[in-house]
Amino acid sequence: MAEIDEVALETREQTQRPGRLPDDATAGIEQPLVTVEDAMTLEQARALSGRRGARLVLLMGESATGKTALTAMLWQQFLEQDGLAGHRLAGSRCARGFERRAHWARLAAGQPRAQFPATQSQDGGVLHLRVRRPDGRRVELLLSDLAGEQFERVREGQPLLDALPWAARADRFAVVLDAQALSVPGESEIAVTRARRLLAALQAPGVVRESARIAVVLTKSDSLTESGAKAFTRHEPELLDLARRSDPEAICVQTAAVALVRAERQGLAEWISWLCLNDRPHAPISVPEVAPGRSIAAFRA
Amino acid sequence: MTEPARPRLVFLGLPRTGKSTFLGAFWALIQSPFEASVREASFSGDRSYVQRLADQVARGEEPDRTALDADEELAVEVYFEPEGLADLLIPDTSGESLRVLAERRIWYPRLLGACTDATAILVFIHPERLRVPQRIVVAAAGEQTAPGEQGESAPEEVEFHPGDAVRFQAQEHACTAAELIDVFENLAECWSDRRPIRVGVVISAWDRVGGDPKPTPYEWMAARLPGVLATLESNRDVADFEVFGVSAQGGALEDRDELLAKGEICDRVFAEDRDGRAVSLVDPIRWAIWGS
Repeated sequence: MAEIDEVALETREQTQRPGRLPDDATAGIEQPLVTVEDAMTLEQARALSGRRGARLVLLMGESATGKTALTAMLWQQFLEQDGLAGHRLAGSRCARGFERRAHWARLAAGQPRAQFPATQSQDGGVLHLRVRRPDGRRVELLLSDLAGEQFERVREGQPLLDALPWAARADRFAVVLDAQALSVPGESEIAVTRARRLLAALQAPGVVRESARIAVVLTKSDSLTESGAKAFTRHEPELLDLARRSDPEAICVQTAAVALVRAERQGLAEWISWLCLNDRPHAPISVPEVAPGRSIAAFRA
Repeated sequence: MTEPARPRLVFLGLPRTGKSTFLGAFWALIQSPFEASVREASFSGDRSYVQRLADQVARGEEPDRTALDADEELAVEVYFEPEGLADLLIPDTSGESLRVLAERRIWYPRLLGACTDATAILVFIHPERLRVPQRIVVAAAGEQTAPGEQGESAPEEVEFHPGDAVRFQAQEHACTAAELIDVFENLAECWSDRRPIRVGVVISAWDRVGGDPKPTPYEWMAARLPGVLATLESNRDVADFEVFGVSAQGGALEDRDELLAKGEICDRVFAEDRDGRAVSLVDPIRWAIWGS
């Protein structure tokens, strides 16, 4: 399975290489672009990370739980308004990828339901977003955008590192819990169980590094009904408890990334703050060794 | 004697964003006895191209569009008061070449060469030719956005079905901010060994921007292109940033008689700095060469 992922990513990289203008006069004067057509491949992400250091964020959740919306709406928010809890946009090498993901929802703005394209297995990759923190430090975020099916297999028992070997490089793990599903009788328990299974998968050896952070992200929180809120109140402590076995500082973030016409989006400020937060401090190791570094390039085989 | 500065400026902007008009007006001001802060220091060289642009601006005409493969440029020694002499080179890069970069994702060789050698870039933005992202909101049950409620007309009912997606086409759907951010990333890579360089945003057709009170150029950018503003301000180690509003014709071409009644080019053109203070139309270039 791991090989399939790599192949899919590599194949797409080849198709992203810049073409030539038909005019012969331009032949042979190609200059590769550093930006990409859609999402970055693992290789491209590695190259960026090797040069600048980058923070790999693994968004985990099954289909239609709001992973893509969460990512696209962060971009949309930065384009609509400068600053989010003191964080400012500082660039992206995947502007087109973000635009594609926001496209449907823009077309359907004002309709009862926001639509984001379902991420297909062959589409998976990471979206780069550079953010300047309130303290002036720039953070290079690599936000994964993977098909929900990937996580379905993990929930069914496939080890996370078998499904996604590069998950061991992640600096942030965000397990998504869909408030809409939580609010549907009969679906609520299923949604919680699925999130719980993904959190449990993080406990396998070698998955969550000492410096990495975990969050449980409640998406579509504005659609929580009374029963949904009750279910959330009931299960949040145990989900957090599970997350804190791997990250004692794990938190829960409640988001409503797509707001009602007269309402504000919720939770994006907390979400970006958590993404840009420093890594967890960890105890110094007694045996001298090369500092692991935060870049995913440190994991090159 | 002090060596003259050797600025290499690039005017960057999508088609019809005012680059050639600005260049023509700038040349006219260099020639004008009423613009005391700048003058031509050497008369040698072929000036036919910029002279033609200046003539078109003087007549209140829209300059000819710069062809993709055009190799016209302004190469002239100019004396700026009080900064000094500058051996100025401004290739007139076609808006199409930026479109090729932004939409087809290919560096056109002439644009790449100009950007690689540039000491400063002036990015031209036409306030009426922006693609601004539609705000993403959803209606509560039984409610739909009324026309004008978001400042734009209400979208038509759109139904989505799996496999029947509205295909995303960057050239039609990507917003201007996304295109500019994408371009900036690639430009920054060109300058990786000699940062920071100056990047000025020139909001052209500034006479068309209204409001009560009228926004300053900085305020306009913060309202219309906040993501681009943030990106430029967050990368000061890569690029110094400034913003100007300019009217290089001094009014609307649609009402040519009224425009020409305002007088010569030097009488009718105007510019504002980031805070809305009146400055010379020459000032964006002055800043690009010497900074603040």
